[in-house]
Amino acid sequence: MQLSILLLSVLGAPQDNTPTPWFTEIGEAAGIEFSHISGARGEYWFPEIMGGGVALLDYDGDGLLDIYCVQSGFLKDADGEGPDNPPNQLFRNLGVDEGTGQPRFEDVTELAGVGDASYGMGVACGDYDRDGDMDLFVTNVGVNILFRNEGPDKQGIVRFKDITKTSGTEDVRWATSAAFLDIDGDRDLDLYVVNNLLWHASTETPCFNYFSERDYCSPNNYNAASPDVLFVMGRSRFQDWTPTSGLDAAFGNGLGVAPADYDQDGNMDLYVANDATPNNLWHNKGRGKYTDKGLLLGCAVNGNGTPEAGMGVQWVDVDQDGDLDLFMTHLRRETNTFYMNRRGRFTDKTNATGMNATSLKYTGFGMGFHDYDLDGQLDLYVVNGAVQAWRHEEVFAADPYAEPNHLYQGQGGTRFAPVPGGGETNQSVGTSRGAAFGDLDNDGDVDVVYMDRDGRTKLLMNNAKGHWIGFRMLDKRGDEVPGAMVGVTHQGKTAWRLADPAYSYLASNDPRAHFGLGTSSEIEGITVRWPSGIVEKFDALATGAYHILREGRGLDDK
Amino acid sequence: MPYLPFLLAFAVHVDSGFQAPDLPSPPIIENTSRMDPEVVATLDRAFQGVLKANLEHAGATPEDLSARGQAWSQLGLAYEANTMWSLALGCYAQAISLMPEKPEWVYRLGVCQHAGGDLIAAFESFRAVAPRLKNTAVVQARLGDTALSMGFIDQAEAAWQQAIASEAGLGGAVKFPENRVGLAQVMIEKESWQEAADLLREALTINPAYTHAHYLLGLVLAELGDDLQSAFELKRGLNAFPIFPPDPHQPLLTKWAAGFGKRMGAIENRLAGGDPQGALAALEVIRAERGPDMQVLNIMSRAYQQLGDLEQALKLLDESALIDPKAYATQIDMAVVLLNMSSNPANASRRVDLIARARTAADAAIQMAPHIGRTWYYRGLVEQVSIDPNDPEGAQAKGKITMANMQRAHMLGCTEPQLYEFLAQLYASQGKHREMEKFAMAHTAHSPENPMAWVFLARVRYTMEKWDGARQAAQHATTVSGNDPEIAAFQQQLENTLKQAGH
Repeated sequence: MQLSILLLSVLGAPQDNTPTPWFTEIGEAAGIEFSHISGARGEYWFPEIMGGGVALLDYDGDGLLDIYCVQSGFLKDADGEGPDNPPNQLFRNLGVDEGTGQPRFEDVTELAGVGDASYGMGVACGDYDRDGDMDLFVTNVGVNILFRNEGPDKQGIVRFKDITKTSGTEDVRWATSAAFLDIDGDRDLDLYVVNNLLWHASTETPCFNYFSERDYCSPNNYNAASPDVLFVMGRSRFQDWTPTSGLDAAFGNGLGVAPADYDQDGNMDLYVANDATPNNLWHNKGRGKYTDKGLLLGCAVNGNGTPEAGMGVQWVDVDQDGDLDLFMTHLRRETNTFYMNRRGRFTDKTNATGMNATSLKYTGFGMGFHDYDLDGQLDLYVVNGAVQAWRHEEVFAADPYAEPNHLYQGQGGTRFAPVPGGGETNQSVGTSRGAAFGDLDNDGDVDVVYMDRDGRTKLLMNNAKGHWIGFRMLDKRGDEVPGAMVGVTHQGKTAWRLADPAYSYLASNDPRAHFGLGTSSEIEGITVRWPSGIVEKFDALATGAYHILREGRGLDDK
Repeated sequence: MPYLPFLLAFAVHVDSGFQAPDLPSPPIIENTSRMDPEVVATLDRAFQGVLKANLEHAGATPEDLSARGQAWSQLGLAYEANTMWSLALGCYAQAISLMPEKPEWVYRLGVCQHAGGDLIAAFESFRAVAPRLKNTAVVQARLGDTALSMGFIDQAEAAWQQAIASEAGLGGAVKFPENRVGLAQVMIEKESWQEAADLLREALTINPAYTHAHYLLGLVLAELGDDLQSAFELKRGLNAFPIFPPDPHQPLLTKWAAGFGKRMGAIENRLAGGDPQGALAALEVIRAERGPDMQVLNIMSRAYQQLGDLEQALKLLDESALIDPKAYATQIDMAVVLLNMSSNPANASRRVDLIARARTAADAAIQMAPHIGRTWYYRGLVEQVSIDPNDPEGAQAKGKITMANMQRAHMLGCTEPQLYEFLAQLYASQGKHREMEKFAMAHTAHSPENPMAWVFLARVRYTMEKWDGARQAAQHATTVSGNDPEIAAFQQQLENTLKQAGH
């Protein structure tokens, strides 16, 4: 105390004790010139309130994450008529600008050939054809699009080709989230597509809010849930394996998807978050045969037996006991729900998170658990936005669906505390939907990109400083492999992360595993559980860097 | 912007100086043009009650304060009944400031805070009022519920213990299952599985149909290692939601929760309860208020169907289709009415024509909503009804069409309760036993509380010579029926047959 008084007197002026905000929003300044359009024209067509999506992918292999924004546009009326839609946009990461110290982006949509102009929803990324570059799958209200990354042409420009028609993935139903995963252990990536409901302008129905004013309907008003689809990679094209795999045995109004081998049996399982219908935990019995164990294992509905409005979802080891728990975002007047994995069964332990008080009031969509402040504890970022307007009550912005986003700081165990202002100097308020998470400037902390309905794309750069380490996961052939569990031991404890880009809502994320290390400047060892079921140990590596871990070959530190 | 006359009148009163000075005014809803007239009337009455109290009891005597507080509390109830939480909150805050001696309004404030998503404020309100309403079970239960949501397990446990203790004040004759379930939730949080199971079983003894208790018991039994019974209980408890002991204000809230949707819901309940005349009378009132309305006409049609007047039912549906030609639900209703007419022996000469019209209506429904499973289900139903047993070839063809439509309905997520049974029967007629069993099981999964679904599964398994499975299904049928004598007799008969056959 005496020292601080002395220092103040020496400096002659009071110091600014305002803590540095966790994040700084730089989307527009960084060159992300993208504004989402829902096409809302007062008809209250259901898909208008659900988009858009966003992906972080290194499409050109330069080691920097690029950003792909999925545009919605205008839905077609019952006669198939409607205005032309603006396209999706791809922004190439040019690296950190020396002047601003922040990353810069340029729009390369036309060059890359990925400007699909359907009514877009979400996106999944994966190297499905195993040629060493990331491909793109875009979900739409209408035909979904598969863009194959053709690599650089003679001028060195990376281009994509729309191969939907020949790929075997053509489907006209309204899809939302999607994920690439290897369901049958053949090391080819298969594709799971989540469908919402069978929507068409002619099947719309007028719905009203509490004040008898027109507003968006609940999905259950349509009574038209749509089965999801599993496409399995054959020799050269995908085949619809949905009935073969047993995945048509149950379905709901699907919104979110997250693959993971939750029971560590060497087979990739799937969790699908459904909107107002029970969620599905698709247990892989081997060879791509699935059975829904959600209800029997306690994670189809919340702890009261009530189906909630599942939106974003993530497999994450919240309690750091080495197995994967589940977390998902929900509607206003429902909690965001935490299902703790207890020896293969799931228990709704939301009450123990300390997040109920803040989540009950809002509608959560995109979400991601990461150690944003590098203190060694997982934190959580949730983007919010209502699906029925705030009227005659609290209104947060001119947009009656807008809500503030939330940042929660990990307190140890499963306890979290809200960070004032959502970690920003000016808290983000919007009708937020898709959110993607990754280290865009490779400075060792996790940044956030999210989409606001009828708003511009936001890029939250993380200001954290501290110790960290990260890993890119490659299989035996040297291809990017989703679904590995990475454990890093430091100070005698092991923290686990799932390295998989498929989580959150309508999003594809940084595929790397990232660890904040708190006060540890060194680690003691690394353990990897590969999707194949093989467990390997690696020697300790230097902190403050990303490393490559290759299956079966021990350390491959480039 | 359209205002209601009473709001205009209020504005005039204010301008004329009739409003007592410095007294707070009730909140105004600006646009009530689309609100249900009954709701508007309810709000109007309560609104004018506050104005009247402000004028007649503008003073500061205990009587004045009480009269104004009472009026505000009634307006709060009117808003709350119609889910206008934030408006209700303001009214209850006024009531509390004017009548601090009445703790029930602090309780109501907490209920609205919780409904509006403000968990912390709700918890504080319940915590403040709980010591003053120790013997009101619902107050203690609400405190327990919010405490548990906040992660305050000890406070939650104490509150639910008090809720159970409060039952003694009712002479010991009344036990609320909700209090046992609440305390069981605390035991689940504490991982005291056996205590939780005991409480849940006690709750289910009081109310065997309590779905929330079934779901929680399923979770607990899984922890106790009884996977089979756990699965059964989880299925019975699916789609549960938490409920609380009786709320003293509930009768008034229910009465004032008018609203078009609620009124129509009440009318549907009347129909389901076998009172088509009462339903029609209520529908005529709404029809006079709203003018031509597709939903009203369709439910009126259903009422006439119940009364056996199918011609009138059809006439109303024709009228409805003119108002909303794109409503596939109207076409489905038409198909159903026409099918019912076709099965009436008095219409034997018109049967072919009536079925053809039903087919046209079902086709129209599909054309309007090809993505909706129900449309395909009813198209299949039309085909099934039209099967002529004297025409085996035609019957086979129609059977195929029925099957195709029902499969399509299934693929599109149709939730008609009889769909699975229908599919099982269709597969049975084709000798496809595995499919038959699959859909019979799906029928029980979809309608686990329906004993006839379990009876059907038992019969299917008996046909398949799966003796143990048949026994199990029959046992479930008896259990879910609450030991209904007829179902129990079926189980006994099955058991006797199996024993006689040496199985």
